[in-house]
Amino acid sequence: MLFLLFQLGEDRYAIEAAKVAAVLPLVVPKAIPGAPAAVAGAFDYHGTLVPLIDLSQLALGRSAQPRRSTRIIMVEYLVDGDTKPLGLIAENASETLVRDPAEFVPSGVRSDGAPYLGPIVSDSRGIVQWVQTDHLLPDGVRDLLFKQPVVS
Amino acid sequence: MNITIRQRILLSFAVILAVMLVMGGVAIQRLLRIEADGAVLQGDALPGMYAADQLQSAWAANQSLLQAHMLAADAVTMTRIEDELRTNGAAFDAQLGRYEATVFTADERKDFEALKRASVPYLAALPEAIRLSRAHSDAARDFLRVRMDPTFEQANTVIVRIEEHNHSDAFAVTGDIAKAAAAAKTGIWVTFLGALALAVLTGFYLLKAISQPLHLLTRAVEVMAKGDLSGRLALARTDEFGVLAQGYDRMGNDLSALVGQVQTSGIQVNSSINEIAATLREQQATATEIAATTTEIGATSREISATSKELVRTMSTVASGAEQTAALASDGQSGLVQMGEIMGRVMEATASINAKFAVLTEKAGNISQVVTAITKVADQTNLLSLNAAIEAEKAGEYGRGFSVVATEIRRLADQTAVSTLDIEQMVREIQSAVSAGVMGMDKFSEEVRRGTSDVRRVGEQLSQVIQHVQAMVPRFESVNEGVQAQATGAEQITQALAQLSEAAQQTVDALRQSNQAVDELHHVSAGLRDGVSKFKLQA
Repeated sequence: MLFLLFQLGEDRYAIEAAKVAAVLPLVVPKAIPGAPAAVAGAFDYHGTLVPLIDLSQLALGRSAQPRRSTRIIMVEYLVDGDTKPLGLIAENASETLVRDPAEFVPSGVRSDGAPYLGPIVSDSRGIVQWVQTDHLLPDGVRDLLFKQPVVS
Repeated sequence: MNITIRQRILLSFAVILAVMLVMGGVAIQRLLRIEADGAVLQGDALPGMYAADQLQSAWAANQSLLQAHMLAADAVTMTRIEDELRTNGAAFDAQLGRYEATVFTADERKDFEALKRASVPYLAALPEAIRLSRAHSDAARDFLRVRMDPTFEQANTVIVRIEEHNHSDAFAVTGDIAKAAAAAKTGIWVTFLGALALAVLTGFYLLKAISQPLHLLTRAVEVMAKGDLSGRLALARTDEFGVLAQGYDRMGNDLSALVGQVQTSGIQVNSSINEIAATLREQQATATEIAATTTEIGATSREISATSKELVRTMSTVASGAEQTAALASDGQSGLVQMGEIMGRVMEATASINAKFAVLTEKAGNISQVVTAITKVADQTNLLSLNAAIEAEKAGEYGRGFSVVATEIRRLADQTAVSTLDIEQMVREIQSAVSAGVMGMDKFSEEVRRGTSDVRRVGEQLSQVIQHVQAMVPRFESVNEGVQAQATGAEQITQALAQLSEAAQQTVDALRQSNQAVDELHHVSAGLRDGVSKFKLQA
């Protein structure tokens, strides 16, 4: 099974490739005034306005560094049984990892503030933690982004 | 009573003198009267009495002689008696004349005339009687009895009366004299007693007026003599004692002030003496130090003298060294000129190096642009390979081969990216090295410029040095002479310092003597203070 790797700070995380629609170069998003800090804004993806979440802001409380390796990962976000496109700004999203999901083991530490963090696996460069995209957004942010008609 | 003592004394003497004058006057008057009475006695009574007595004896002798003539046997005796009768007659006449000189009163005159008259008949009958006597006749005795005896008795009666008269006069006069003498004695006694009483009285008052204040003064003076200066008299008198008391009080005040000043001065003198003693001790220590220091300086001066002699030798060496220096400096100057030329060439080379550096910087910039383009391509390739791998995963079994290709492409892209990173790193290093080189060259060329000017300045300085060194050679000679003079001077200083050391030693001795003198002064001052402290001052 193929995973897309990225970094939050110095640690590496993985998203399964099946959830990823595409990997895009970083664009300057349109800002959404009044939105939570984790919401970097929205951008045009093939004619559709897609909300953009800054993972560094969400997990670490700081903006992602504007590097060439910092990219937008387009995922299919499951909302009420329906999938919605969602852009994630992730640092160093330039590698893939092939692993059997059975090799992942629970981290042993449960964090209520980050329900999206899943089991972990280690390779030659260290530990990789699985990020469950379905649990990525807090309920407030999810409702803000998807339970209202998007104003274009 | 405003009478001075002098006036009192004068007054007392005046009173006594007046009384004595009165007494003397009275006594003189009395004595004058006694003297007058005496004169009367001498001039009248006594001569008259004497003459009367003589008259009476002459008269009686005449009768006796006549009777003897009648009784005489021989003629010789008769003749002798007749001579004696004539002598007697002459003596009677003489006594008569002498008595007449003492006749003053009318009674006496009358008696005298009666005598003269009574004597005449007797004297007239005398020759007849003598003749009868010679004849030895009884007629002579009858004549004597009838004629001579009655006249004789008549005259004798008058003479006796004159005698008695004169006697009574003399007694009266001597009685007057005795009375006057008694009166004079009484008067003198009275005046003498009066004068004595007055003298005692005035003497008593005078004594009282003098002794009372004198006693006060004496007591005050005794108090003052014991050293108690606090007593004051304050006599309310206007005479000499008042003046004396004021003088005493003023003297007490002055003495009090003086003794007070002396007491304070004594304390000050004492403290001053202590200070002087301390100062003297310090001076003594200082003088001793000076002596020691002088000895040290003497040693140093001797060293200076020796050093100066060495300096003379060294100076001649230095003089020859200076000449060599001048020669070397000329060589150095020509070397500096060459160095200046070389510096100019270095400057030119530096300029060309800087130009080359500029070219290098430009090329590095070009490389950097190329590397950036390559990086972009590698990034795009990586992105594409990622998306391709994701798509291949989604295609399942059909995408397996594609997935391998995508992974390979991504590996190449990553290698490219790593290489470009290396190139970028190298270009950046080159650029920084070039800029550092440029800066270094700038600094170098700046230093070279500075060095060139320095070389020029050094050249100028060297020429000045040469001039100075050449000018110095004759000065060395004078320095040499000066140093020799200095050596001589140092020796003289050594001698002078030896004398100074002796003088300092003498000063130390003198200071020791001064110290003793100050000690004695201290004793004297303590004595003075003790002496002055006996005086008790007014509070």
